[in-house]
Amino acid sequence: MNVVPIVAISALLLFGIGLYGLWSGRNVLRWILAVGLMETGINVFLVLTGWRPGGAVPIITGAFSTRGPSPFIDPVPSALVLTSIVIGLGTTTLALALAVLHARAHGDLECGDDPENAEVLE
Amino acid sequence: MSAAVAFIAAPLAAAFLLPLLGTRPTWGTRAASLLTLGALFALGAWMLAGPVPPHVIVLGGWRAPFGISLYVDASSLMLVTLFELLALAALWFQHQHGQEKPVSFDVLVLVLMAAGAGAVLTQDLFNLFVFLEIATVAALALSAPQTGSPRGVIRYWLFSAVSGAAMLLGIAILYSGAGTLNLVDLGARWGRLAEPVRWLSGVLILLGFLVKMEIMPFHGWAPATYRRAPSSVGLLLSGVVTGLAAFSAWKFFALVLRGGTSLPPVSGVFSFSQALFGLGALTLILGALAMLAEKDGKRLLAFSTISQMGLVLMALALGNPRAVRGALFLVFSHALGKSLLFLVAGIAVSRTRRSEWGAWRGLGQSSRSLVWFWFLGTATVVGLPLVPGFWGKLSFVGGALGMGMWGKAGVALLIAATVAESVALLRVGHGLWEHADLRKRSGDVDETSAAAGAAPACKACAGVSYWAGALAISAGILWMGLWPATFTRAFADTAAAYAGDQPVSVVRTSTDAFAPRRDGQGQVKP
Repeated sequence: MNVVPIVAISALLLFGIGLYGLWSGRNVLRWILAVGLMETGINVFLVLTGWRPGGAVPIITGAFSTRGPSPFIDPVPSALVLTSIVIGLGTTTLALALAVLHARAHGDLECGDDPENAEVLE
Repeated sequence: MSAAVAFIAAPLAAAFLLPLLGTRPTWGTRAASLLTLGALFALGAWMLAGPVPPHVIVLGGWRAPFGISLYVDASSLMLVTLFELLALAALWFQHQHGQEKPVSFDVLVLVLMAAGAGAVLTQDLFNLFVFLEIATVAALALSAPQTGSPRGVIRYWLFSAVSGAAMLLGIAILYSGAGTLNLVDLGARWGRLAEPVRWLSGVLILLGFLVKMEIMPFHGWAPATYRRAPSSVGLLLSGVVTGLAAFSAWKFFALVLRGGTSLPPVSGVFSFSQALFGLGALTLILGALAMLAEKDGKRLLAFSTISQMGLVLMALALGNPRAVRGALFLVFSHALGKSLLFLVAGIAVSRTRRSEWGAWRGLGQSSRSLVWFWFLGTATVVGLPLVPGFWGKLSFVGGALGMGMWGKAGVALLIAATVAESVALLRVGHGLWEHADLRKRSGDVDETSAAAGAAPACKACAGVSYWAGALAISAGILWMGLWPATFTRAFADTAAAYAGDQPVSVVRTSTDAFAPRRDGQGQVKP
């Protein structure tokens, strides 16, 4: 069975749902989830770019030849996805902290425009 | 291994060690963060005092295009040294005049420095993305207000999260086509990529840079963020974050897109670089006009940054060596001048508790230095002769006039925008200078400016330690404005190196890469 279309469609769906989530509301938590979905979609796509039919896990366990087609999948996208997940974790945590600040300042998570004439102290 | 690696490693190490001294700010934590930045500034100045031959640093022994390489030349070293200077000024200001911040503030500034140096030096697209994300996270956390509404910062997060996602998608598409992430290697393979791959990845990745450069229509996050953030953070946002975004956007534009020439025209009418030029022109003029209408001092400075970045984008999009030299000059002059303005604004806000510049009237009566530094900053940003902004704009005009109708229209817009920006900034400066009595007579006194009038004369304001950051930045402005030759030469060399047929770090093609190493530096002669 060819897995490529299934994975590609899931990636696209995740990205699309995320995009829709951004457009369809002003709730901070909704935005955070939407961005998370978009990032996951991109990560899935990134994994897909390294895939090749019959490719093995890119860990060298025995002798192999550098000539001819590689027996492994491309390990670079996997490494990129790892990094991207870590970045996503960091930004999501930060965004959640901002959501807490928003709830403290406004009592809810509906993010409108910043009040123009509010006091600025520093 | 070159000492330049310290610009990335040292602030990171310091950032992780600093919390061990405690989470409450003490004399020790302040000294530690300032000393780290000071040592890095001294290192940069020391390296720049001698000749800086362009060289490639290969990290971990993995040669390009497999490993990540750094490219160090005079311009990138100057930019990193400038970042350290700005961070020193910002932290000094925050420690001296700002509200007390936990140690995490210093930690975040150090992280921002590491990310800034990394983004400027790296030659790997994904590594560049990572450094930009780290810089953004640090900038976001720094801008978050301790009290009050974080809506501006949430918008900043949203813009940068979406643009970061777009950039990552662009990188994934580009990698799937080209199979490499090294910028120079990507540039070499760019021409062989399918057209949709080129378009999609080029537009998506540039989008990421444009949001961080505050280019219209992606600037929506900036004014509210600048207004709410502490003024020292405004300094870092406009000096360091936009500066590193502009420099890295140019690296991508010059090395991978080859100045936009490698993309087919948009619907056969205008080229990719003309589209960018148009966006820059729009940003330049609308940003300057918004300044005229702005009543809030910090939002006014935000629009000034937006406008200046529009000009930088125009110069980068023109792509000829003179214009690029001008763009690099403008990044420096804007960072220096805007930092001075933010320092003055920071003191004005902390005295009046207001960010409307109308409320700052008469503040210069008790400390004239406030006014002098404001005017020097204004002169630098708008580009009066003998300050760095002038040389940048001169180079831009020289580069633009040779480019036909588009270039001439750009110069006309630049003149209009400069006039608008000067009026807006001088108006604020005049307000600072104005005597409180004049203000009363003219009848526009209100409660907010009365608070300014009541501010007691500040005896310490004339002291050197009070203005240490501003004095250091002023020294940089004067040096760069009066003796621009060193900078001009470095920028011209960099522009030529990036535009050449064998741009910067010549990488081995992947078939060649398994061949035995010939030299330890990783530099390979073509």
